[in-house]
Formats: sequence, structure tokens, C-alpha cells
Amino acid sequence: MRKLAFFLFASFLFAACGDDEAPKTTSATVNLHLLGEYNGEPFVLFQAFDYPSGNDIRFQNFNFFASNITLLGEGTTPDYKLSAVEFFDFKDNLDLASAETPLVRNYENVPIGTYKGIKIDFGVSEELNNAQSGNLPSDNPLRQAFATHYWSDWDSYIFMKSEGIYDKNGDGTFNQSDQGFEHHPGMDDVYTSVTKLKSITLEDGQTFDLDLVADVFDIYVENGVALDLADPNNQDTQSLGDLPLAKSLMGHWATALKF
Amino acid sequence: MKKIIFCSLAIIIGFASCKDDDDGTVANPGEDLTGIPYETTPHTLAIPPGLPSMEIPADNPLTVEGIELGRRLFYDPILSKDSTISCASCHNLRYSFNDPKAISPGVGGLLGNRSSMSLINVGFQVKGLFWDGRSQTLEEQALHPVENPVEMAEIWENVEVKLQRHADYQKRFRQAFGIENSLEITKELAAKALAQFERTLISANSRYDKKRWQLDPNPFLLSDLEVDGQKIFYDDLLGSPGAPTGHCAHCHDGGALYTSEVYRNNAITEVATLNDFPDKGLGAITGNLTDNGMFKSTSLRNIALTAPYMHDGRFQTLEEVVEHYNSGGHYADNVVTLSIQPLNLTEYDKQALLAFLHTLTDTTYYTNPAFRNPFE
Repeated sequence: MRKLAFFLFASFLFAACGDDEAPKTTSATVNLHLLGEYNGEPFVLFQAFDYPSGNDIRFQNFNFFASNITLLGEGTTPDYKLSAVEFFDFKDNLDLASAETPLVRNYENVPIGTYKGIKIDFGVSEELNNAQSGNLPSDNPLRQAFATHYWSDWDSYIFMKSEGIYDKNGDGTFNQSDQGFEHHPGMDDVYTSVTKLKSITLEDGQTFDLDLVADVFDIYVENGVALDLADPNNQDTQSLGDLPLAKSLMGHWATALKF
Repeated sequence: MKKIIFCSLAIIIGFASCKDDDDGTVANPGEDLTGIPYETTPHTLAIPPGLPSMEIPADNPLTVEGIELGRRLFYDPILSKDSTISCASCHNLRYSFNDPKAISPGVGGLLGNRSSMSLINVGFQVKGLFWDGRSQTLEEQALHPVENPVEMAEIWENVEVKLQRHADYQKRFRQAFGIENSLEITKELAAKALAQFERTLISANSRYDKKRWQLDPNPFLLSDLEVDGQKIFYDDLLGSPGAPTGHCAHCHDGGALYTSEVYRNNAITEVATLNDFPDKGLGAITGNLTDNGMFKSTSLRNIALTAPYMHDGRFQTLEEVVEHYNSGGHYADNVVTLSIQPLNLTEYDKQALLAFLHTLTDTTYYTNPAFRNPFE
């Protein structure tokens, strides 16, 4: 009986000693950095860029929703969703310094392990797109962008806004005779999932910088062929007839996203 | 004779004091208020279809007592230097909390340079308040007009003193916020009460609301002309070849808000460069050249009641507004040129668009007794 009591006491001491040790860390922090670029150059709003046609293009707004930002697991590491939805807006890219400063999102308590890459869905998932806006918490990106991005006639969020002007007459200036464009693709049909494979290893207590680039040039240029912005049919994506253009632009995220 | 005068004065003063205590005009500053019961009644907003959630600050929950206090402060000229101007002077319920004057006169008849804004559904706005977006919350916004020299021309220290010695406000601030002494009445609490009242100014009962958000099963709520106007407003979903487009909803959508809460140069001012705007609007706040001449897109709900239009009230009628947008206005480097370009609308198109805009009128809003002046 005494031996049993001693054993229990020793076990208690052992357990107590274990409790004093620092808890083992099993998570890491992921900092997502997103830079805007145009053909590899910093993406500055209101700055003229070369378009493949030889004429200039200038952007005034560029922003988009990204949904289900997910680290893709490898081996015994399961997939891990970093975020259900984020809104990225390059509205402050008004000079070079701002354009060289990435948009940042921090994700804490991410399970450690080796991931084979990332998956990002461009747009708003069907589930969230159909959610009742009256129920969204005020800090939800969809609530914050409700007024600016909810298009009533579609019953859908606008997934991406790319607005600017194209120097249609090629005189090197921008004025009312040039071609404005407002590409606002939305609706579930244009939701686009993009996967980028590149090994990511998250270690205990460490911070991993997930450096991404959104290259706006690639939204408009595929395999060297640029969208003809002088064509009035390509100036916006407002109606169902513009669905092919909307799908095409959103589909270009496959190359526009760099990792 | 002296005795008669003294007695008369004493009687008058005594009478006046009694009267003041009764109707709450004058009371002792520093009054202990703990004898007044403090038990607030939570007020829950019903969010109609088509509207988003409303952000209610954790430190300023809606209560029946806070809303009522806010309503009284809203209609009370006590906030102004000479007790001539209240919030309602420039935000008249009859005009959907707007002012039929292009520029509302402040104390002494002084004029600023901007038109008053409608307060309709203001509690849902998250992209800044005022034409230039300089305030982020209603609590912050409510502090500005009092000290604006062309509005109420008062200083908050004076307003606080006036409220602290006002028996009825002593009681109401106690009931709304639980203060124990009248000296605890502050501009921050006054702003909170005003914000609470403003969050209740919800409208969602226009004819178009009834159709769009299926509040009324009647399939004939809108005439053919109005439906055609709706298509122009939202840009025809079907994209029929040659269909007229107004590009209106790019700035005036947001579900049942009818504002996209965007800041735009809507091309009403001709300038040589972006530096030349007489009123820089958003640019004066951000310091960004490309924000010059940009102003917040307002809600088009009850727009037929809120003339004149634009940030400076330059257009007297909706017809003038439609003509402006149909013309394309004045180009500048920060104009979003697809939306602001000659629209080539026909006379029928313009009539249809105007007819649709009138379907956004919610008559139950400006007749709502909860929004009325409590002093009348």
C-alpha cells in the first residue's frame, strides 16, 4: 500500500514538472503580402503604361475579392483555409512608394507542416454571394464593400473592378475622345479558382511571408494577345451578353497571380 | 417704491424659477441626478430586405431613451450660438431630412459652400460621412456642425453648459446614459444620442422597394415607362443591342441603399487641371491630387423630394441632373470616363429615367411620427 502511495506521489510530481514546461508550439503565422504590378512594374494608378497595341493605358481603380484562400496540404498535412473572403484594393497606389508597399493580411495559429502550394478563388463564393447582407457582421469584407460592390440587378457582388482609360487615338494623351473602360465582372459563372504549387514549410512559432503579386497586365493580355480596348464591345461587362468577356478577364487570374 | 419693485422682482424671479423647474428650462448645474431612475430599454432595429447590416458601436447601443434624447437634440436650436439653428434647420423631415435651399443659411444668415445632405439611411453608411467623407462615424460627424462658423457657430463648451443647466436634459441624459451629476453631460454623450436617433432614420418602403424586394406581390407596381427607366438606370441586364444605358447604378446601387458610397468627380465643374477645383472635396481631406473635385455619391432614395442637387445645389430639378449626365459633362483626369460620357438618351429615355427615379420615393418616411419634431 505504501509502495502504491509512493508511486502515485511520484507520478503526480512528474506530471507537475511537465506542466511547468512551456507548452509546445504547433502553429505558425502567415503574413500574406500582395503587390500590384503591371507587366512587372509597380502598379501605380493614374500613371500611363504601355499597352501591347502600342497605345497607352491608365488605371483609376483596381480591386477584387479573393475567397477560400487555402494552403494545400501535402502528405499528412491537411489543407488549411486561411480566409473565407478578403477584399484587396489598390486605391492607395498613387505613387511609386505606395505601389511598392504590399497589401498585407495576417493569419495566426496556422497549423505547422509542409504545404504544397496555395489555392485562391477570385470572386465571392456562391455560398457567400447568396448570403443575406443584413446578417453580415460589420467587419466582414463583404459588408464593408456592400455599397460599392453589390450589383442589385445581378443579385451578386462585383468580383473585380478594373476602371481606367485607353488612349484610343494614340496621341499620347488622355481625354474625352479616348475610350474609358469599366470592367466589373460578377455572378457565380465567372468565379475562378487558381492554384499555385510551391512548397511552403511552416515551423513552430515562426512567421512565413507569403509573397504574392497581382499583375494587372496579365488580366488584359493572354499569350501576347491583348484585349482590344478600342472596341466598344469590350468597354464594360454590364450585361449577360458580356459574360464571355467577364469570364475571360477573370480566367486570366491564372497567370495574373504570381507566387 | 423700492419695496414694491423688490417684491415684484422677487415674485417674478420666483415664478420664473418654478416655471423653469416645471418645463425644464433652467436648473442648477452640478445637480445630483441619482434620484432619477436609470433603466434603459434596448431598441432593436428591423433591417428591411435589400439593406445591409448596420454597425452599432459597442459603446453606444440603441436605447429608447437615447433615441428620444437624440431626437430632441436634433430639433433643438439650443445647439447653436443664438438658438436659431437646429440640425433640423438644414435637415428638414418634410424634404426627407434635406433643405430646399441650395446652401442652408447658418447663424446670422451666413452661407457655406455646400448643400445639406439627406440623412436617409445614414446609419448604414460605412465609407465616410459628409460630401468629402471626413467623418467616419455618426458620433464623430455630430460634433462638427455645432462649431462650424457657417452653421451653428457655437462652441461645445457653451452647449455643454446650456445642457447641464437644463432640467429636462439633465433628466434625459440621466435616463439615457446613467450619469450621476449634470456636469457629466458632455459633447460626446450628446453626439452619441444624436447618432442613435440618426440610426433609426431608415427608409425601405418605396414603390420600387416593394417590387424589387418582393414586399408586394402586385405585378403592376411599376408602369412600362418606369420599368424602361429601371433598365436605363441599371444598364439593361440583357444587353439588347442599342439599348440605352444611363450608367447610374455604378454610383447609386448598393442594394436598397441606392448609393454605392463612392467618391467621384461627376464632371459638373470645368477645370483646366485637377488643381483648379474651387471646392476640392475629398482631395482637401486626403491631400491626393487625384481626389480633387470628388464628392460622395448620395442615396437616390426620395431623390424627388431633395432638390436642389449636387454638392453645391447647382441643379434645381431632376430634369437638369439628367440633362447633365446625358451631356457627358466636363472631362478631367479623374473622371471615370465610361460612366461620365455623352449618353445619347432620347426624350423618351429621359422621361423613363425620371419616372423610375420617382419610384424611389418613400412617402411613409417623411410622415413617420417617430421622426417628427417633439417640440411641436
